[in-house]
Amino acid sequence: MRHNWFKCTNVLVTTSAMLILMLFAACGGSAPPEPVVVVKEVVKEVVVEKEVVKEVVKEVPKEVVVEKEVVKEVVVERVVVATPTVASQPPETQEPKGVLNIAYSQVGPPKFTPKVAGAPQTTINVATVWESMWHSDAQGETIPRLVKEWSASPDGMVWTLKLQEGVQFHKGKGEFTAKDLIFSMNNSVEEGTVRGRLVQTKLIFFAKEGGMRAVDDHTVEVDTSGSGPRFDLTWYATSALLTGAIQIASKNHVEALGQDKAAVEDAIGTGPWEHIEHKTSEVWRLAAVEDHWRKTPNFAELNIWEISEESTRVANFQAGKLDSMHMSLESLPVLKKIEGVKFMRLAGGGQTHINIHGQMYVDRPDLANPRNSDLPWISSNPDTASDEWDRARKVRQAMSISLDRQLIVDSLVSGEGIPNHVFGWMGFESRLGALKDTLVYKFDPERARQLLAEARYADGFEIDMALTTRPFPGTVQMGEVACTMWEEVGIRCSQTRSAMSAFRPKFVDRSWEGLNTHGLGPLPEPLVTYSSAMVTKGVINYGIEHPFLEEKITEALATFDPEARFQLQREIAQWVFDNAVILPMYQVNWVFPIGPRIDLWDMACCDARTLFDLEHIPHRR
Amino acid sequence: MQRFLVRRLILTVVTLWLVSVLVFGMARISGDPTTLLIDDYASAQTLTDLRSSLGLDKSWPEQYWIFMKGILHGEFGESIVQKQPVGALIQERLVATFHLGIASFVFSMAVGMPLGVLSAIQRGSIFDNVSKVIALIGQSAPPFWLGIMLMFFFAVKLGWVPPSGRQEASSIVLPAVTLGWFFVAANLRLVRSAMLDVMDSEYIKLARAKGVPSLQVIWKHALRNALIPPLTFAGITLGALITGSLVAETVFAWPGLGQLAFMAVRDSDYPLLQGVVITFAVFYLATAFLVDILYAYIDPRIRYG
Repeated sequence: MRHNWFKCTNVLVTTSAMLILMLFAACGGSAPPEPVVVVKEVVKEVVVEKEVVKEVVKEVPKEVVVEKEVVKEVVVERVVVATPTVASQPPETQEPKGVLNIAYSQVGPPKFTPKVAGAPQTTINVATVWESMWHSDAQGETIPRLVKEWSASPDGMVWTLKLQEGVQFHKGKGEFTAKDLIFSMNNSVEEGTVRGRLVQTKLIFFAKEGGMRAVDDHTVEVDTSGSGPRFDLTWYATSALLTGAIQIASKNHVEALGQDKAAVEDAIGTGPWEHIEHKTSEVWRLAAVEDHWRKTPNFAELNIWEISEESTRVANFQAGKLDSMHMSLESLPVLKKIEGVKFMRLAGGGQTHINIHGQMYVDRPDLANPRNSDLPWISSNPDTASDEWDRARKVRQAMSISLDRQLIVDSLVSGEGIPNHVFGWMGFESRLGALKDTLVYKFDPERARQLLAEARYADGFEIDMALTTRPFPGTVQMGEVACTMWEEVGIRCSQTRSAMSAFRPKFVDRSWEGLNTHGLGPLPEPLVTYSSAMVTKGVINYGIEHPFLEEKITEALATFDPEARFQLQREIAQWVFDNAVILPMYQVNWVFPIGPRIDLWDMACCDARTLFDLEHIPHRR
Repeated sequence: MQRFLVRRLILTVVTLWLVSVLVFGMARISGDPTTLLIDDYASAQTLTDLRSSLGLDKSWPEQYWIFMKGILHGEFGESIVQKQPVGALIQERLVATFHLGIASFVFSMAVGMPLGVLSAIQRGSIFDNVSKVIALIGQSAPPFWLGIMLMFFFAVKLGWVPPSGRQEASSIVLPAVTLGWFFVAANLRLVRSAMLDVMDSEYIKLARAKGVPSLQVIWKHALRNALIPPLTFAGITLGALITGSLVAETVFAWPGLGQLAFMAVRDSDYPLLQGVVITFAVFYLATAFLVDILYAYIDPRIRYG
């Protein structure tokens, strides 16, 4: 017996020793960590946009003429002329050399035509093989890409797009012309497509009384007449704006190969990278396009790997097999220890918020669930001057100011972000003007308790929290932390985790009477999210419908002048803030590790999961 | 024997049918793929059209009937996300999974069996204890943890092998070890206990008494007779290694069927998930069926109904 016990101890001791040794070695405990200097570079890009008013002489045929006669009419058009940028780097003349390796958690199967585009392929596609009509710079401003210049008629209804000339499709498929643009737009709205913003794209580019037409090989006219409110075309066709990105494909290529084959077999675009082979869930191999019209890549080859496991990506990066990758912020401390590593940080990767549902103040008989004013955060009276409204507002304000947003940023996203107080304005803070400093929910739990007492909820109340998943760091945990913070003021949460796919029907039918965690990527303007999710016409809803919002959002949508439109949006922002109808939480940075073989570059845009402007990645000197 | 085979065949078919019902039902309980395919802002009409185009607007019995009809024709339908025939996707990845399965099988046998023999003949020694440690780690360490630890030690720290992928010949080492270690432990224990039984038997004692050299006694007389349980277990091991590669393939980004299954679950890709699970089930049941037959031939003491 004693002998057996001794043997058993031997086994246990040896097992433990081996495990500890493995752990120690694997976790880097074999040598004291050397002090590492982490080089941080702040990338600033200043883009100068020239806005000129120029007189254009237009030839307008007279409507009723007996003889063929041309009447010359002088009109004033607002023309935007911009120069292709990502400008701060000097032009490099060296030959592309070396192989660039990047890994994402998901690359997905090939989706090589606009019709089948979807996440995450769309963003990866338009960052490599394809180009979109417009691009965005680091400030979120629209810059030219395949559309060189664009102008709108004074009423904003008819847009004229001048296309780049001499741009070649890969593999000798010919020059990019107006017919390719029109084909790609048509293809993107074909039956069976599941693209985001499909409705808007159809409405704008294929308006009932208008549509697209080629004026010549390099000019396209888009008539949005009959589409209702005036829209800014660039909102829905800029690669930065994820769901709006439309890759411009070669009409000849797709038609020659057939839709189905072209969608999966060969990728033909005009971008700086040319498709070599695509192995689903393994690797997408690309080669630099020599003498590219815009920028020849510095690397000869690009491999985009799909590695779903975070720790596997980190191991590959540590082993020098990857030059950059999609990373979780939790990996930051480990990655910082790698010698020579730099980090690409761009503010504004995503904005998170907590929706407060049930605030349906527009009378709608079609809603299955009428407004439930028994709930503390919902008023029986939509009049914002009423006592009922005031009580419900105090409850919502108490919820907002009892959240320590800075602590949430520091703990959940490792400080890689900033607290957010104004819903939907990420990237547009400068346009808030003086409101930027006043629209701030100051963390004050004492005041929150006081507000709850004034609203006759001194003992707090119970609320349901759906912890719904979004691809932004900390989205779910944010809800858990918020619930913990609310406990301090007496608000008790009943928490349930829910995949967005399962929760989405409640977004649509407005039936949820609680909270849910959510997030948004960069937007063309705050109005996009207001008009999508805060009005009765929106397919989904963030919990609030109110006559004020209906009126102001509709008016803003119909306002073509950007400054006037932003003024209306500021009024909406003020109202949303004052009434605390939604709880903005934080903005999170995009962080990508940059390995020792490459250096930082001016990445203009766009998505928390994808690196852009890869052609500008320089070799490290 | 013939009756036994027929009975086993019927049982295999019934099991396969049950697997098809289970995987069909569980895939649908796990979530609706359409909500993953569309944008938040997509209209209700887009959603309805998509459901209809994927055949998801039909009732479950109708969908099941279509699924079964496809299987009987050797088709699993088209992947919802990849838009390619499921059969072709499975075929593409079968080689990688077999490659990994066989490598881990060879590893588990080549390490487990000799260790088992040596452990038995040096019972109670340090070597025996070390072998037990190996067995203990293999049977208690979760593969995802083991895989990551091996990756950080051998790929990152030592740089001996690539951390993941299937680009280099040596890429297979870590996933094979991760996948095979559990079966190293199982084989080791099985061989050890079988050897201990045999070593105590009269004919071994007789052989020793007759002066047969020790090595010959162990490797020729004892091992031969101790091999029946491990050999039959080997069949099941091979089946389990090929069908149980999901974790190892996901951790090591190994482009095989396990990774395909992971993607199918992640994307709620019903046809793909159904296809992969049925393929795994067919393979496993076929292996088990063959093992049963082999067992009957190898060990004449066993009588079948």
